[in-house]
Amino acid sequence: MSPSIPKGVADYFGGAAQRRRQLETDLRELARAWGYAELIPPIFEYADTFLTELGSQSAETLYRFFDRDGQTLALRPDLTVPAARIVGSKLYDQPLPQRYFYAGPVFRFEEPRAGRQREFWQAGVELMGAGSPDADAEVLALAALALRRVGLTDFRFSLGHLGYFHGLLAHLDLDDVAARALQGALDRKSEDDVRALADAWGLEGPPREAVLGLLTLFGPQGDGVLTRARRLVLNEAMAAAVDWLAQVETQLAHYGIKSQFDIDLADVRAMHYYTGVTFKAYTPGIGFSVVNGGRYDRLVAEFGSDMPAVGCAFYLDRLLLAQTRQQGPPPDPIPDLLIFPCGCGDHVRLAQEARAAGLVAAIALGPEDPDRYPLRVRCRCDQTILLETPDDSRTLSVSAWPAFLQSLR
Amino acid sequence: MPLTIALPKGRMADDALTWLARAGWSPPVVEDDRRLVIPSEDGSLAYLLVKPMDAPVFVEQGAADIGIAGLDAVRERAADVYEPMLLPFGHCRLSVAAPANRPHRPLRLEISPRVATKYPRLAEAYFRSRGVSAEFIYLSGSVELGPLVDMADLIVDIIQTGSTLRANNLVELREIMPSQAVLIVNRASYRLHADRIQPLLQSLRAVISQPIENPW
Repeated sequence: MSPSIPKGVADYFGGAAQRRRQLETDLRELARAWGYAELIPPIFEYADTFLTELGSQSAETLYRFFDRDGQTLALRPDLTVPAARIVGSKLYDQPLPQRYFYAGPVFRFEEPRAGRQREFWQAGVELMGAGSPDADAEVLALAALALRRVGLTDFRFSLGHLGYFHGLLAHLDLDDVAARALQGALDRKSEDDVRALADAWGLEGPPREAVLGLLTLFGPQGDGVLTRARRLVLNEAMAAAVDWLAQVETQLAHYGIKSQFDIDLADVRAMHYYTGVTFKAYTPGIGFSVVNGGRYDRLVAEFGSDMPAVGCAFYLDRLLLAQTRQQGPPPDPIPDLLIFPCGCGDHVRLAQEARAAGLVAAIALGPEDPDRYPLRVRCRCDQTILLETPDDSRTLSVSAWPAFLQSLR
Repeated sequence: MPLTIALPKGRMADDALTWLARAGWSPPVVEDDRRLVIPSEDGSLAYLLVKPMDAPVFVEQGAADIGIAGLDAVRERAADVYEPMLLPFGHCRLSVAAPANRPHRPLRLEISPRVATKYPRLAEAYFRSRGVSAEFIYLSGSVELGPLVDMADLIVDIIQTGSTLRANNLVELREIMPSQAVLIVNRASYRLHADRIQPLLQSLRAVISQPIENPW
């Protein structure tokens, strides 16, 4: 049998597997504390679900295959679309707002890049049925506090609002090709390309200033970005986006995380379904965003019920990479105690009591290297046990075992 | 932690260092030419000297916070980086060239031309978009040799003055893209180190927009 595995998938084991599960558990517990209930969508669905007008992915990145009955199925390329489908088609008449958490693998047929294989893991939250800046701030704050929770305290969020760019496009009345050219130039932050487009379109006066000014609308909060953005506003939609962001800012200040947010109104690359606030999070040691999110007020309607929604996804593999680079590689999981079998059979009880006390206890089966274990336990079958650490050993009475276990915790 | 800047080894590095010095940034200490990571004299920067085609990769991955690269390399590697500023050097163009004695006919009439190139992604995209199913021969240098030894019918390569083409009896057929040096920035570094990257961008922009005094 060949040892090879397909391009784009990975085996996780040892400390890396443990750390990944821990990451997922930490995020799940935090989300639960904020009222987010778990949603478990299927791994594959009808391909059409992912190919709606606002659908998340272009067809060629979907892993598609045929069911026995000839239906085209697809492995899920993200979890926001399944969440929107479930709420839009099933849960729409349940009390709003609805808060959901999910975690699991997603699949995209793309060239593997750092921290993103073809199968990669996402966790995320979706807040459905609430269309206010406060809802955006809740998801942003949850994302930021989640990064702190998993030990990545040094992070920055970039916060934009697509309404500003869309308002500008509406004012300029550009065709699709021209709009995409401007979007691409802004996405590369290429001043030269943006200026060349403004020249080519013969823009003058306030529209020209608004287009050229977009790239300067970046900076930490309190840096006057929104004030400058307001000066360049050409219509109601752009003004509304600025007002919205100002309200999100106020909420973020209440959460005490405002200083870790930058405004970037030129960040115009996002999933097609985003309509308002968009954001990304970055942390040292990894050159890619580790969290992506935003408001998508039209996606749920594709599945039957019109309602506003906001959410974000954590790239678990990238968070793992960031943890490894900032905190070092994860240690291999080694049991706290190695308990040797004895003639009287008490070793089983010793092990069970240790496990019940929350410790990791393994019973020796023969091939172990005892030196790997921080604590070794030998039952002497006379109501005493011998405790061995790498540099010490001592005798303990069996009756003192429970108290000893408590002291280890 | 110094800001890390990837420079493409060769002539572009010299131009890049000249402009950085003009903008007031500390040059690399010159100790040992074989070193690949060279701190600046004042310790504020760390220079990474890399192959020109690799500079965008170092920046995309975040191994370097910023970099200077040819636009051709950025597009060939499809590097997902910010490109805030074109720089006034490294001008050239990526073109299709053929032996001078090639019969005059449009490229789209080629059935399955053999194309030698260092730019597989851009070359393939160019021919594919014209509906030509070319056979690509990937080389890492001396691409002009391809037609000479009848290994290739066409080449896709960088042209600066055209003298290399002429010396090898090749002519330029089509320009695929113009290229010049561009300052690139990692997407995460742009935000995490904005306090140091923004001043660097501003100082470079200031010296580039100054009219260059005529030396004569």
